[in-house]
Order: sequence, then C-alpha cells, then structure tokens
Amino acid sequence: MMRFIKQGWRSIIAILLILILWEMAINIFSVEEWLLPAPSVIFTDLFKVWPNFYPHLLSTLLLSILGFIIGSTIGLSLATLLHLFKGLKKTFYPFLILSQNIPIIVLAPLLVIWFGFGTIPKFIIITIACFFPIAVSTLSGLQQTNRDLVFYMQMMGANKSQIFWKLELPDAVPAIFSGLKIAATYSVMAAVVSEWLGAQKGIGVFMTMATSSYKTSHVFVAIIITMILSLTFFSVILLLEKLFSRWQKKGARL
Amino acid sequence: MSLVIKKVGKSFEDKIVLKDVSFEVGKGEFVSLIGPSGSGKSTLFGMIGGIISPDEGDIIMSNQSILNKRGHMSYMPQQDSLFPWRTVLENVLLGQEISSEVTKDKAIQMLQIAGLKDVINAYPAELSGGMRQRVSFIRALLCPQNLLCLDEPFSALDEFTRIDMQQWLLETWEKYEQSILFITHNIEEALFLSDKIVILSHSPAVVKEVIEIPFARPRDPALMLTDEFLKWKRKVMNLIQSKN
Repeated sequence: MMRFIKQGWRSIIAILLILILWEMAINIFSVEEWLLPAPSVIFTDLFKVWPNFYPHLLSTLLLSILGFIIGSTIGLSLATLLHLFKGLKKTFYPFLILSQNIPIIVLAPLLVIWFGFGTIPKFIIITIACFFPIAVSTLSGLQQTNRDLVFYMQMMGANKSQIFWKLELPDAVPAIFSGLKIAATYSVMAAVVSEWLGAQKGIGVFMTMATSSYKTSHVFVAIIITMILSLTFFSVILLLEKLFSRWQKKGARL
Repeated sequence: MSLVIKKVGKSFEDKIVLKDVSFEVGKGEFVSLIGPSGSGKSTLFGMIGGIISPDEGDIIMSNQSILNKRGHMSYMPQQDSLFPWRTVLENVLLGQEISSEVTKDKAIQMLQIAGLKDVINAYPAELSGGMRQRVSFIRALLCPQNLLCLDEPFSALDEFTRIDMQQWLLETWEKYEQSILFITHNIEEALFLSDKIVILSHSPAVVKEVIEIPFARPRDPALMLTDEFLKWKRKVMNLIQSKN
C-alpha cells in the first residue's frame, strides 16, 4: 500500500484536482443534473443505488469471467496451433487481423438473429474481443525464443514437442501475460456491451435503463463500477504474473 | 564409447569449411580441437550432434554410424544457455529430461561434490558467469551420453576465473568416465586439459597434426609454469603457424 501511494501519488492528486474542478464548474455554471451531475451527487447516488445495483454487478462479473476464460483458452490454443504449423499461420493470420475489423455493434444484432437472446451471443462477443490480444502476444512470444537455447535443445537431441513444452512455452509466459492483461480489461467492456443486446440483469442493462430515464448520475455510477471491475481484473492478472515469474524478480534484485 | 571422425568434409555454398577431417576420441579421453576461428570446429560439433549432415565421410560412435542421428552426445555451449526460469537443480536435470529418466538424488549429490551446494535452489540470474558455466558443465556431465562436447566454454570468462574453472573442470571430470571433446582457441588451456590435441588449419579446415600430451594426471596448475610445458607450447605454436 505504501508503495502504491509512493508511485501513484501524482495520479491520485491529478484525479482529485479534476474532481474538484468538475464540482466547482457545475456549481458556477449551474449545470442541470440530467445533463452532467456533480461528482458529489454521483458519489451519494452510488450508495443509494448500491443494493439495487449489486445483482447487476454480479451478473456482469460472472459473464466477463466466463467469457474471459473461454476467450483466452481459444486465443492460447489458436496461437499454439498457428505456431506449430507454419502453413496454418500463413493461411489464417490475415483472418485473425480481419476479425478485429468487424464492428461489434454491427455484429451484435446479427448474433441475436442467429443465436437468440441467450448467453451464446454474449460469449461470442466477449471471445472476439478477448482472444485477439492473447493470440497475437502469445504468437510473438513463441517466436522470439532465444536462438542459443533452441540450438542447445537441438544439439541435445530434443524433439519438437520437448522444445515446445520445455523451452518455447515457458519462454513465452511474459508475453502471454501481457496479452492476458489487455484481454482482461477488454472482457469487462465487451460483457457490458453484450448486455445491451438484451438481458435480464447486468451493468449494461442498468446503463440502458438509466439512459432512457435520463438518470445521468446512474449512468456515471455504472461507468465507475465498470472501471473498478476492469482494474480489479487487471490486478488479479498482475498478481498471477508475479506468481509465475518469480525468477525474474529474483534476478532483478542483484 | 569411442568416437571416430572419418574423412569428413562439408561445404556451404561454394566455401569449403571442412576437408578430409579424421581423428579419434577414445574411451575416457580428453581431446581438444584447436584452430583459428572460422575453421569449422562448431560445424563439426553440429555434425556429431546430428543437426548438420556432412557432404562426405562418416561419424562412428561405438562401431555405429551416428550420421544425422541426434541425442548421442551431451553438449555444453559457449554461452551457458541455462534456462532463466529454472533453478540450478531444475536446469541441471534438463539434459536428463530430454534423453532419459531423471535422477534427482544423483544431481543433488553431483552439485554437492562440485561445490555448488549453496546455490541448488538459486536462479541463473543470481549467479556469476563462472558459477553459471559450472552449472552448465554439471548439466552436461549428468546426461547419460558418454561423450561431452564442450564448445569454448570458458572463452567468455576473465583470466582468473578461467584458471579456476580449468582446475575445477579437471577435478570434476576425473571422478567420472565420460570422454570429452573440447573446442578452444587457447593453447595453454588445451595443453593443460587434454590427453590429445587436434590442430586444425584455417579454411578449409584440415587436420594439421594430432599430438599426444604426455603429462600425468591428476594435473596441477603449477604444471603450466614448467619448462616442459613451455616446450610443448612452443611446439604447438609452431605447428599452428607453419604453412600447410
């Protein structure tokens, strides 16, 4: 915690400053609350609306975690396949990039037509958002293996699978984690967007209801919670990364 | 185990790298390959390792050709090539994992004998260059293969560490029975360590001379200062500089 304050004090002061300016501006120009609520109003509303909001949060949390797991599994396996079979990579790499050029907003209604309002179209949306950063960073991690170490493995008579499991995959772990970190934040955002399609519960649902009834402060509450959720996801992955790369930390100490 | 290199030749595109190279490594023998850089010594290692195939000639181990066959030698490269995410013990076991079953107890015992007891659970980044090369040598020694190929293992070390390491290498190796094929640029190193020195010429590499070194084992670094040693050094030096 001390370290966090030590490194982040600049950002914390900047945020506080922005909030104070915002509050002052609302008071000076007497802005209508439905147009832009003051930070103090959003803050008090957060506590008022919390019991009502909580179930929505849980639903989004579950959706994004499951979506993230599905997305990263697909991303990892895809990268591994493309890495092990060079021909596949040449054929499908362009498709990988093209998949990111499909606007989700357009895709969403199509998915509803094909799969209905259930959970499947939601998972597909999260997966599309998640798998790409993981696949791309894993692939580049697998390809940047230290040549000396590969040469050592070959000289020792290691076969392709030994080289992959003992060298290439562990060597790609830092790269995989940088993909996972991006995907973790994407998954929350994609979960919220997917809930706009139509759902009973979720932050996305809460947002649409708040917008249509001009409860602007509630929209901000939803935005803030989404951000906190994203940050939490990110931190969990960061923690896992530290756990998996203890050797790096030890080396850096010297 | 005995290794026979038989009239091996190799060219890359138009450049002839090795030509008609023949020599032998007997059981439990320490043989050094000495020659200018670019004389194809590493290419020769690649052939013994089975990842480069020669244009002509044969490589025979214990009466069987091992041309293009991998896994018949244990290897120690110039850079330590330890895996940074593995501890010293896990690194040492890597060679075994590739070629046979893992004997953890034997590895721990060997690390203890080699004076690496205190760093068994350390990561490579925590060790000095000399220590890392020791770990790398133990990794090679622990493999079940009877031939160790060492590719200039001490060339990146400073002079003090290097002399320590040569002494340590001999002491450690003499306890086991493997044969060693050792690449070096350093004449003193070759003389001090080997039973036999194979002198290669500059490209294309041909064997200029194979000389037997008569010094008794176990050897002491004081040997390097004797007249006898210096006489041998002069002899090797002259052989290297002589025209074909």
